[in-house]
Amino acid sequence: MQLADRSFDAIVIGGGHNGLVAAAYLAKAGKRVILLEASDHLGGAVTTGEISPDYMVSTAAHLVEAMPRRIEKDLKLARNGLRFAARNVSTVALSRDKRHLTLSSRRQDLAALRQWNAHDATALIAFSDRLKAHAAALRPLLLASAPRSGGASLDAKAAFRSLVWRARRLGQPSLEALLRTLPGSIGDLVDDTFEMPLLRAAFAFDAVRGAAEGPYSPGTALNLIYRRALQHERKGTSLPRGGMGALVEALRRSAEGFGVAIKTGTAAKRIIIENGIAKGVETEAGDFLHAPAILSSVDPRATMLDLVGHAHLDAGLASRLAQASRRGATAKLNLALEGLPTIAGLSPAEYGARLLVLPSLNEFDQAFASFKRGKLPDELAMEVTVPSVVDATLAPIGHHVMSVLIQYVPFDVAGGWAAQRDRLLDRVIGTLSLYAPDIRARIIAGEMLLPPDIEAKFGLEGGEWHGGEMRPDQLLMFRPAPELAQYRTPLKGLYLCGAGNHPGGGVSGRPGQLAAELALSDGRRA
Amino acid sequence: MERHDAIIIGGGLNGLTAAAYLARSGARVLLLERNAALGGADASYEIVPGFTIPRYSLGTSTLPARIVSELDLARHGLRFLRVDGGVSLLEDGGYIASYRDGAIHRRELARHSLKDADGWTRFRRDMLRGAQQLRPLLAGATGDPTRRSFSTLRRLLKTASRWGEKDVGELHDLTRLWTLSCADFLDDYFRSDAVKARLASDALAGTSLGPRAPTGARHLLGAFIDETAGASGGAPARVLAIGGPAAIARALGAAVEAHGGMIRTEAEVTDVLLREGGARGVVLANGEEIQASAILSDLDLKRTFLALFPWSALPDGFVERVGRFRMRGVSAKINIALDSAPEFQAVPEGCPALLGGMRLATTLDKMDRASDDWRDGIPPRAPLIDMLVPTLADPTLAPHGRHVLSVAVHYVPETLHDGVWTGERRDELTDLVVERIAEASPGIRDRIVALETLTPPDIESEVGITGGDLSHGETTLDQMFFNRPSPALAGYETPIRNLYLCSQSVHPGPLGVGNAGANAAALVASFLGKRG
Repeated sequence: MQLADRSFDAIVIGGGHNGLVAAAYLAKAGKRVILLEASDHLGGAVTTGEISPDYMVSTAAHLVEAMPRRIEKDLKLARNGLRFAARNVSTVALSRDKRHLTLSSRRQDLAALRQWNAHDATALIAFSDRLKAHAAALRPLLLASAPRSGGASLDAKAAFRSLVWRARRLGQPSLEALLRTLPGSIGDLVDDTFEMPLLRAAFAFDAVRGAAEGPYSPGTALNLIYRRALQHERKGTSLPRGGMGALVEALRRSAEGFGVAIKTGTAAKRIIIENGIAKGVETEAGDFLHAPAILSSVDPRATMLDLVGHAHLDAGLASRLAQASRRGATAKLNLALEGLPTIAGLSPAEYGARLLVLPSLNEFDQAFASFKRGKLPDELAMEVTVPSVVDATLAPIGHHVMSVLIQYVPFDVAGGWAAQRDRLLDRVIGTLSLYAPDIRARIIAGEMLLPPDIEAKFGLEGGEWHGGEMRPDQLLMFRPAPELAQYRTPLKGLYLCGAGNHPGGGVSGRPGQLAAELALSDGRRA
Repeated sequence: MERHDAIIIGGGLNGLTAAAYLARSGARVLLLERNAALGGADASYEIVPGFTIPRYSLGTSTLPARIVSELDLARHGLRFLRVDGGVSLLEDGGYIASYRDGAIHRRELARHSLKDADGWTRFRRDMLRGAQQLRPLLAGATGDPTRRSFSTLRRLLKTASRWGEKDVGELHDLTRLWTLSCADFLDDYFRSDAVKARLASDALAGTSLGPRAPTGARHLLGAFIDETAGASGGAPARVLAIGGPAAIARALGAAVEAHGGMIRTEAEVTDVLLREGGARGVVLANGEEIQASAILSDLDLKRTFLALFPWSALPDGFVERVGRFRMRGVSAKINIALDSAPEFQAVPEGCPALLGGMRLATTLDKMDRASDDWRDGIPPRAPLIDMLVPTLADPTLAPHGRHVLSVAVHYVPETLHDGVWTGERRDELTDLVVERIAEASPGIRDRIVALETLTPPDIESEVGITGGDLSHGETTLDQMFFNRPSPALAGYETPIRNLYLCSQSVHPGPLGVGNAGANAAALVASFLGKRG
């Protein structure tokens, strides 16, 4: 098909999962939509790759935690081939003394914990309930499109006032806890709550996973609440059958089913601006595409500074975007394994769980200190899945793939990655061997993605997975910048719909959905 | 048995302020201080005869201007000196100074980075604005946002509306100021590490936060809270009480007595008398009982409840909650008498900023490491060293031509990961600090007449502050405002009827020492039916 001088109702730039969600919603509403993806594959960091022939694994992101069920239903993802190999994946914190801990408030799991540490069993129930209540109180603020403030809009006022009402409904003890928790560190919170080092470390890990903050950094307790609030719409962590790429494949089929024209290998060169209005996109190949609505799911910074350009931007906005913090902190290791490594003390059913490998909280804090100084952490904290346990499509029968997220890996390392890559790999395998002594012998092949690799491979600046760090000055109506919040830009017709926008990173599809809905309602009003 | 309207336990600056306000309102007041000298952590002593030095604090404590004027402390001999903000030595042998005068200060910054001189103009403007927004919150209770009352709800909804109507850019600026780390926040204004380290160390010395810890940036406001700070366009002045901080305590004591209040030193309270669930008086160490209608405690939160009460008298769960209030000392104090003025090679002779103190070889990285070490219970390998030679500005403190050197050493943990503070480890710290000082001032060792080091446990045992924490509780945001020490207690009242808190453990904490005392006194005066 010739692209030259074609007109559409909407152009979506970037074929990550948010871009696909946006395109599908627009097309579902009857719009003629084209989606442009620079690389030759869709999904960005949400993808399944081959470690070696016949061993498939989710290359980067490896769990669906925050995509609302509503998006699945609206876009008919099941009908388009999406199956889940496992839903409600549980979390097991591995212990070196083989007494692993299942993190849940289900009765049978608590019974085991109660025998081990009665105080913490009771504390865990109270903590889980409180976390749930706090997440519920904040949820509407996080999941609706970001509140706006100032000027003619009263959105923020209404949102803040309703927050007061909801906070009041928590009751005094819970509200008091929330007020102390919000600005506090996760480390202080878990130290105050639990006695068992494993339980402390597990919650601390979940609060800082993917973030460039330490367990004792003030504000990290909020991360845990924020994540819980986002996860709520999903009701459980799940593993798509076929890896994360299968989710993208279903989104692609859904989008195409609704009529979206998807062009891979087609990079946008610039967004055409006339009199402050976005009119279309010029591709690298020199084609001109026109549409009254352009939605970019690529990084807001790249969108505004590279595709729009300084000439059309307020200087303040340009410098704010240029400064936005992007400190990646997570590396990924994917392994192809001959047989299932034996983790002593783990029941067969638990091999399919989200496994946490954790040092003590103190060592975890020291790992963060090393990260801050561009050094490899001595003790590693990792999130491990063995998806082939529940999904036979990923590896030959009897063989497995393992997916490992490694926390506190700096982008730049002292001594350079050329020299340090193998040291890190050795340390990761060494740590895994403490739990699964036979792992080294079972490795057939593997790939490690360091933060610079993640930047190069997926275009995620700084190797930061969320398209902008999730910290208070880069959340809600400030994401990605106060002038750009709520998916609109100062340029009429140009919208932002990627993870760099509210409510942020993770595989949620929310920015894509909310931006599409906004563009549609603007279109109706015009 | 003696009977008073109000007894104040503890003669720190907040206790004295509370006593003075209450006495002024017509209450019969008795203040009880355990030690011989007033001032608590701001007490002075003679390290050798004729050399007076603040024993625990650096010596830069002041009182809010409204308290000085309302209590007419000038009449009781209190005078302040305003001097330039001080000097930091740099690792490359250079220095950076803070001047009150805008033109001079900008020129000083320009020596380090031309852009930073412009950055200062924006920074000062933003700090003045931030301080102006903060100031009204300090003179009064915060109100308990968790209280189930219609008026609380109405107040919160009004606040929510006011915030919701703010411009999003303004909200963003506020969010950055209150949530970012010092390092991230300062990056918006300055390029030079020397400039950033100078400002970050001004802000964070004495707190538990390192320069890269989120929420540290709001401490930058601290120096700007004083109404006149930065008035001439430059850095905020360092305000020194003539005679040292002990002179503030003396003036407050004189004000208490001038209004008919009584002060007894070397009178240690060991118990609070309880009757029918309310506090009725106190018991002293010698067994003496004294009654009063209201008791105000200037002791820290933990010491108040964990030492003065049988725990069974406190509500369920209260002791645990008090136990969770984080109090961990961060500073050691080294007091030195010198037989002549110290010379600092890197700084031009007569540099006026020296009067405001001298900070040694600070970089953001070193501060960050020191604060990480602190959290791990390791004595800092590269401590943040804050020095003041109060005798440069105020020669009354030492014999003619002689000097005292007041040294605060920061990020010093109270508990060590591998044992306790022994004399030997204290000496190791002293040697390290003196070595650093000698690098900056080579002749200093020969000038030392006397030297004494106090670690956080020493401060705890002498002053009585839990953990030797001079802030009476960490000043992270989860322990400030209505969270200081908890929503129910931030209003100075306690679950024990007639017992009030007036120390830095309560809002606004170290933000303007004296405010907590004044705020608590206003509440108690109205309870006693005295004019406020």
